Amino acid sequence: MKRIGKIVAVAAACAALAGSVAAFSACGSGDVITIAGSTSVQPLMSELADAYYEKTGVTVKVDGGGSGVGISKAQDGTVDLGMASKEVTDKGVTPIQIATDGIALIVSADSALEEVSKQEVYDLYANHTAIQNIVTDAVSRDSSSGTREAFMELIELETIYAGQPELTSQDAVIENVAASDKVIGYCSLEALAGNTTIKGVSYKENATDTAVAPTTENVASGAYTLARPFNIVYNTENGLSDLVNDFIDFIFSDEGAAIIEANGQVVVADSRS
Amino acid sequence: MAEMVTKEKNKLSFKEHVAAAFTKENIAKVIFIIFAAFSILAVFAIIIFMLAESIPAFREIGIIDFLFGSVWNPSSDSYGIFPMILTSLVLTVLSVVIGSVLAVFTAIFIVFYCPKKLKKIYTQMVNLLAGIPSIVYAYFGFEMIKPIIEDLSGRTFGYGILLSTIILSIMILPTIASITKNSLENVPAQYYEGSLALGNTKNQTVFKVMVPAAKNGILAAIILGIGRAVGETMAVQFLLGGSVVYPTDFIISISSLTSKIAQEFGESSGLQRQALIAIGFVLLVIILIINLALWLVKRNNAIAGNSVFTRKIKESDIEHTAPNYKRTGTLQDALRIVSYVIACLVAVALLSIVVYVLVKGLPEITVDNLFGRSTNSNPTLAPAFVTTLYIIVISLVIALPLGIGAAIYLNEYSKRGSKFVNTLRLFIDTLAGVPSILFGLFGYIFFAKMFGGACILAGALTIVLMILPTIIRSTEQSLSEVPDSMREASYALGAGKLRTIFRVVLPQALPGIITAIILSIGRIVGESAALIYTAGSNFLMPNGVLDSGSTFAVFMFQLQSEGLDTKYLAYAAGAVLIIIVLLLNILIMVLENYFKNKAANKKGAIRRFVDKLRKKEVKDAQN
Repeated sequence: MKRIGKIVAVAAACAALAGSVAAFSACGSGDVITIAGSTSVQPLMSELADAYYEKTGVTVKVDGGGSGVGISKAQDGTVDLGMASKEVTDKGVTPIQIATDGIALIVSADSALEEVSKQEVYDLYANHTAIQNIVTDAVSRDSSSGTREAFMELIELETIYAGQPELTSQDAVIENVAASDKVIGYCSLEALAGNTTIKGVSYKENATDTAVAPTTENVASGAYTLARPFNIVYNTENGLSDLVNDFIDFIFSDEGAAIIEANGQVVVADSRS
Repeated sequence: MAEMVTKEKNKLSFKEHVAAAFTKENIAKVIFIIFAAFSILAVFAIIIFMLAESIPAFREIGIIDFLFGSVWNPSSDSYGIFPMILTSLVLTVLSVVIGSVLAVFTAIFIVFYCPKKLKKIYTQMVNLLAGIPSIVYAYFGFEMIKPIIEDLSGRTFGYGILLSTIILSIMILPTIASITKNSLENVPAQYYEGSLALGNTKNQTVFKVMVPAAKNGILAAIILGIGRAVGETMAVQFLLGGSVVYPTDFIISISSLTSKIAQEFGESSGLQRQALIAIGFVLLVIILIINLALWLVKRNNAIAGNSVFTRKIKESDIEHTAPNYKRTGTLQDALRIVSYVIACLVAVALLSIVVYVLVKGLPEITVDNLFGRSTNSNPTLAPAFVTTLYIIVISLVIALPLGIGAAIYLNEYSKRGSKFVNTLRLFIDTLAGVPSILFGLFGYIFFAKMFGGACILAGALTIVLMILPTIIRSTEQSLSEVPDSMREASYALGAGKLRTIFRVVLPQALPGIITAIILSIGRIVGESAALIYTAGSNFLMPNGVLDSGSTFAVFMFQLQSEGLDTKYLAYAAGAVLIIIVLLLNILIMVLENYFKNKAANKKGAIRRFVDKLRKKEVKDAQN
C-alpha cells in the first residue's frame, strides 16, 4: 500500500512537472522565421521582429553570433536571413541593405573633448598617442565584432596598440568609457540616445574640415562619415519564401521605417527588384 | 547412432549454456558494466572529436606557429597563442598559491579552532561559496573589485591578472578547503592525543603533527584546485580585458586560453573557429596531464595511520581545546591567529558577494520580469525557468540510470583493485576534471551539429557528461556504506543478487542518490560555459526540446551583450540564481539531518529491543 502511494506521488510530481513545461512552452507556435548574425543589427531586428509578431502572429527568432556567422549560416541555409553590419561580397548570398548606422566616438559625459580628427583617432588607437592631452586611453571591441571591423576600415587602422582592452560587448565599452574621463571608445550611434553618462564626439576627416556632430540627420546627409550599412542576406539559390518576403516588405513599410528611425538608424530605399 | 546421441547431448548442453548465459542476473551485470564503461567512451569521444576538429587549424597555421606565435589577429589570419599560454600559467600559479593558503587555513580553522556551534554554519558557508555560479563571481569582480583596483593603482583600466587572481582564488577556495578538511579529519585521533601527551601545545600539535600527516590529501586538493583554475572561463573572460599580450604587468588588459575561447567562439567562423577549438584541445591536454598527476598522488595516498590507529578526528568526541602547558611554539601560535583572520576574511568575502547580488537583484524581481511574455527586444526570465527545468529533467533522466548503474557495478560487482576498475576510476575522475568550456566545445562539435544547431536537447546531453561523475561518486559512496551483513542476510533469505541490489542495497543508498541529484541541479543551474554554444542563447520561449533556449546563467552572460538595455534583468537572474543555490544548500542540510535522525532511530530501536531482551533474561533468571 505504502509503495503504491509512493509511486502515485512520484507519478503526480512528474505529471505536474511535464504539465508546467508544456503549459509554458505552449505559447508561440506556427510560422517561424529564423534570423542570426551581427549583434549590432540584432537590437533593431529584435524591435522589427517583435512588432511584426504583434501585427501578424508570425514568430521571428533573432539570434546573435556576429556578421560572419550570419553570412555563413545564410550560405548553408540554416537560417532564413543572416544579419551583417558590413558590406557583403560573399559568394552564394544576396545582401539587402535595410538601414545605415552611424558609429559614434564616445567619451564620458564630463570630458572636455568635443571634436577629433581621423588622424588623432588613428594615432591613439594605433600608437597610444593622447588626443589633445585629454584622452589618453582607448577601448576596442573584440576581433570578431562587426563594429570593430567597420571602425578599423573607416579609420584605416591595421592594428591596435597592445594592452588595449578588447571587450565583448557594447555595454562593457560604455561602462568603461563612462567610468573615466580619459577614455575614448566607439559604439553604435543608437546607444547615445537616452544615455546621460556618455556623449558623442564630433568628427572630421581632415584636420582642416569642420567637425560634424554624430546625429542621424548628419549620417543621412552623408556629412558624418563614420557610417556602415545594416544588411540582411539570404541564400541566393534558395531565394526568398513568401513568408520571409512579407517580413522584408514590413521592414520597408512606413511602420518599419518608424521603428528604424526610433532606433537611431537611417532609413534607406528598398533595393529589391 | 551413438554419435547422434552425443551430438544431441552437446546441442542440449549448448542450449542450456546459452540459457544460463542469458539469465536476468548476467544481462543485468553486462548492462551495469556498459553503464560504467560509458565514462571511458565519453572521455575518448571528447579527446578524439576535439582533436579531429583542431587538426585543420594545426595544419593551416602550423603547430609551432600556433603554440609559440605571439600575435593573435583573426583579420590577418595570424593565430599565435603563446602569450595566452603564459597568461594562463601565471594566473593559475598565482591564484592557486593564494587560494591554497586561504583554503588550508580555512580548513584548519574549521577542524581545530571553530567553536562547535559555529562549525556547522561555517561549513555550510564554504559549501555555499562553492555553489555560487561563476557568472555571478564575474559580475561581482567587474562591478565591485575593478573600481577599487582602478582607484588604488591610479590606472585607467583595472582589467588584468590582479583582478582575475583575486576572484579566482576565492572561487577555487571551497574545493581545496573541503578536501583538506576531509583529510585533516581522517588523521587518526591518536596522533592528536599522543602529541598533546608529549607536552606539545594544541597549536604545535595542529601545525607540526596534524597538517603534515594530512599532506597527501592537501596535495590532492591543491592539484584539483589547479584544474579548476586553469579551466575557469566565464569569470576571467569578464575580468582579463581581452587583448593578447605577454603577462608583463599585473594590471594590463590580457587574455588567457579560456577567456579567448569564450570571447570569440560565439562570433567566429572558418579558420578562426577551428583555431579556437584548437586552443580548447591544448587546454584539454593540459587538463589531462593535471589529472594524471592527481591520479598518481592519489594512488600512493596512504593516509597516515594503520589498522591500529583507526579512530579518526571526526569520529572522536575529544574536546579540541587542550590547555597550553607552557609558552612555547610562538610560530604556531601566530599561525593560529592567521587561521582566525583568514576564516574571517572568507566569511566577509562570501557575505559581500551574496549581499551584492541580493541588493542589486531583489528590487528587480517583479512578477513582470519573472513571468511576463519574453520578446526579442524586451526579454523576461520566463524562458529561463522553462529552459532550466527542461535541461534539469532531461539530463537527470539520462544521467541518473547511467550513474547509478555505474556505481552499482563499481561497488557490487567489480573486484576491488582490479585493473579494469582502476582504469574506470581514472576515467571517471578525468571526466570530473574536464572544465565546462571544453564540455561546451565538445557539445557544440558533437551534439549541436547532430541536431543541426544549438538546442535544449543538445545542451541537456552535454550536461549529462558533466554531472555523471558527481552522480557516480555520490551513489558509490553511499552504496559502500551499506553494511555487508544486510547483503548476506538477503542472500540467506534466498534473494538473488539483482533482487538484493534493488530491494535491499539501493533503498539504503537513497540519501547518496538524493544528494547527487541536488548537487547536479546546483551545477546545471549555475552552468554557463557549457550551455551557451549547445543550448543556444535565445531570449524567446523555447518551442520544444529541439528549439534553442537559455538558462539563468546563460541569460546573465547574454544580457551583457550589445545594445540591449537590460542589465536590470541580469541582476534579477543573479538574485534568482543565488536564491536557488541557497535553497538547494538548505535542502541538503535538512535531508542530511533527516536521514541521520532516521538512522539514529533505527539504531535506537535495536537498542530498545536489546534492552527488552536483557530485561526479559534478567526476569527469567530471577524466576
